[in-house]
Amino acid sequence: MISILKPASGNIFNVRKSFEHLGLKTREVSHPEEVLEADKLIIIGVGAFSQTIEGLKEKGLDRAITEFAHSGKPLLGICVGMQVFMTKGYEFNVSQGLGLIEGDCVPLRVKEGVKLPHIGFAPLVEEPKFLTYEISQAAEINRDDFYYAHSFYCQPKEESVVQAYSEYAGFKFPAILKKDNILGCQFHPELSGYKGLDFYQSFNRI
Amino acid sequence: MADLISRRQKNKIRIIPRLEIKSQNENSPSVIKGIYMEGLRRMGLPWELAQNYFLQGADELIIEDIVATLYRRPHNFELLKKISQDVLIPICVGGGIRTLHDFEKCLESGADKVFLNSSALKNPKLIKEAAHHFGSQCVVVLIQAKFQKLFNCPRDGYWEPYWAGGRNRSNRNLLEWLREVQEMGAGEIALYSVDRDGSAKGPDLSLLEEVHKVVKVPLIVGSGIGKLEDAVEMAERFSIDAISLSHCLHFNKFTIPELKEELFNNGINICRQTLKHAESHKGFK
Repeated sequence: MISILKPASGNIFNVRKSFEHLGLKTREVSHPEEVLEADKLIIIGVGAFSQTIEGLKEKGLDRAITEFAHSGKPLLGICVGMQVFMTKGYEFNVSQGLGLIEGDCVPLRVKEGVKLPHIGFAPLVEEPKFLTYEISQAAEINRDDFYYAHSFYCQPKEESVVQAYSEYAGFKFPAILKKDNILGCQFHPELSGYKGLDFYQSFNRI
Repeated sequence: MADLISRRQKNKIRIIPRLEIKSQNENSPSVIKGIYMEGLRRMGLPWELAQNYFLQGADELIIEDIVATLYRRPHNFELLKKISQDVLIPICVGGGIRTLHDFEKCLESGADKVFLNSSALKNPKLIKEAAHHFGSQCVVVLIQAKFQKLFNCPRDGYWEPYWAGGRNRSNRNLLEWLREVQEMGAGEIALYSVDRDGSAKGPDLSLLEEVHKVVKVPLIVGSGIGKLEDAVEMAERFSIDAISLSHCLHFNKFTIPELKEELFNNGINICRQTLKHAESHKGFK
């Protein structure tokens, strides 16, 4: 069973809907015991890094997720869910992240006049090897890109952790991170058409 | 200006069909389209239109309950769940959202963003509270602007935000309102023209000229688009991030693939896709 955790804000409905389309069962969890019991865990999040990490610390979920990550079971972080995997988040002030992936969560460095947040679709600069596109290639409509809604991005210390980059107004940023059993995406697969379903399916196959 | 930046550098313009829904009850909801936000013509079942536009390549959808504020009725969340079921792109929902609880219910029923219009005008702090609670990328402020003439002179005047589907005056100035909503933390602004909506007579370019430089957050614009050239002109001349369409799509003046192809051929960056049955959509890739 895939367990989905929403630390602060986020749309769990649409993530669950995506897995329904894949014929996979999911359940929403909110307690550390439930996190540890999960076979596979997804952390979703929108909004602020600091709010999300505070939401996790409140209930001891930060320790539970760290323990889960060390168990080797598949873990996926979406958007802010991935950002909190980093060591530090530099938002309004500096917050400690979970430290599962060494690196920082920092503001997108865009040229003057380019709007933030980055809201909209962007393609991956290069396709990562672990992603298969069975569903989108067979679907009625196959979009080129994934959907983003963010002002910050993850900059891991080791480049090898980055599986794919994306781009906004000429600024390249990591879109997919993977370190052993830990996977993260800056985009929202549940809002990215059939390619998004392919991404969730690829996660399910880890 | 557009020539100076290569296409790669420009933000992709999102194409967002807008579905205005009138539902007596769960059993007979209908997408409608009025002219100048009045008068209603039934266009079809909401979930069918939503699915159709998704499969044509819409980047997002805007779903508006057009009588929730007018009839002081709660939003229809079951209908929203049904509409969003097979749609795998972002959905922005609104119409009669009055409280944070309404907002949350929308997010729990399939919405990714929620728009505020009437209730924001009555209580701008609601924008700030929603942005704080849900994140500003979830909060869209929708504005229906109408031009108010002064001294019977067509050029002299100002734009005023209206509410309840373009019916009621807010007694505010549009430019001040735009400043205020951004200060309150709106993640996006969706701007429509009461004077042009549903007319397909062309967008209000002077309205866009007036506002596009003061909006620092992503800006969605709509109302009045009747021809492909209208969309191209809007995207070329103004700093906009998304185009919202209803009349021209509902009445089949052109398809989304045709629109994306036209924009692309005119050097405007859009989100591309491959359509399996391209012939039926006259799609491109």
